[in-house]
Amino acid sequence: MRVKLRRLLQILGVVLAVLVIAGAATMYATNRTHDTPLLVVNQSGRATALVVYQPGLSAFQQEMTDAFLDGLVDVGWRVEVTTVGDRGPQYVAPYGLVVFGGPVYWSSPARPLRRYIAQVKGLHDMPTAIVLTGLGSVKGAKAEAEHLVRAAGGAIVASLALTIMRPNDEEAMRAGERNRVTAARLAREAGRQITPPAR
Amino acid sequence: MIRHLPSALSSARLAAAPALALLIVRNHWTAALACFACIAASDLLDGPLARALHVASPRGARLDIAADLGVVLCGFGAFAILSVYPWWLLLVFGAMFAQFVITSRHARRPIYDPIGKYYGAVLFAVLGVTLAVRDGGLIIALTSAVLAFTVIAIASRMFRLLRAGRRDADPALPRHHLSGYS
Repeated sequence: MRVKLRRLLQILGVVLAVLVIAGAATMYATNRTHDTPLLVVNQSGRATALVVYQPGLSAFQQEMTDAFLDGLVDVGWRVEVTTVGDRGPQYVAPYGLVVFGGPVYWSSPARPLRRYIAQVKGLHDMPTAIVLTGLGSVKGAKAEAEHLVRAAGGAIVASLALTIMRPNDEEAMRAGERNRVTAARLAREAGRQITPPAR
Repeated sequence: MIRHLPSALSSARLAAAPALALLIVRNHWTAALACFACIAASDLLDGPLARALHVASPRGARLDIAADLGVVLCGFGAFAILSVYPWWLLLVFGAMFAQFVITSRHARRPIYDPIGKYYGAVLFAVLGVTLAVRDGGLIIALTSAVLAFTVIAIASRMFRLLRAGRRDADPALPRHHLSGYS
């Protein structure tokens, strides 16, 4: 009886320790912001777009942001890219387009991205695009990000939610295209749809 | 014929591991979940079946462990290809398995290790939850939980190994806790 109780306490102790460590690590990893210097792509573009994204822990968000950015550059945008952080641009009115990107955690856009969208100034009637990435269900997160952008005054011109563990395009998958390749193609095509205003 | 059923179940599990990886990489999630359910069922059944048929043997136990390792490496390997889990997690599992084999071989007698006993079951559960839920936040939580559990399992095994060594050196120390060997 005593041995059984000791064993049960041991198991409970291990479960509790694992839960506490996992909870703390998850909180830290999902709330961490990354301050990176502003990078300019296609210096000679007709108008300037600002891309602000949270990289996430896998390479997927970075790849999809890059693909969307490539699409913007294809149609002539000058693009300034940075990550969500304390030193990121807080006033976006001078830009011709703002793109928000970030991973989906717990069926919601990552918290630093939500915080950034809510506090950024100058979004009034600004053409705004959203590029979210997730593993499975991302519909709810997409709707939440769109709501946040509209609440901040932005005018949504493109909204993408790309996934790793759910087909991004059923037909392309049936035709044998890899899901990740499809996601990058869709992101690039979406970027190409947004043409910069004529000079 | 029926005597070979437990080994056949373990062998089928080992054979199904690459199929599971392929289904994951190709995004056939329903089929992957069904395949995983069969794998998990075979893991639950083979041990009790071997004991019920009185055919439990060290060879069968080794086949069971090899099949579990195959499933874990194939499953997490496929998820690593999709960037769902990091590649280095496979190294952690490989190191954990190597540590288990080395400490088992060098111990003079079997070590009772209640935490290490559940390590494989925890990894199976993580695979199942990942297939069923598919959420980025959950993946971070599960990765952290697996790492924390790995550290605790290694510490527990080392502690028990040292204690077993001390008992071997001093026959006056009690040995009544040595049940449920792993």
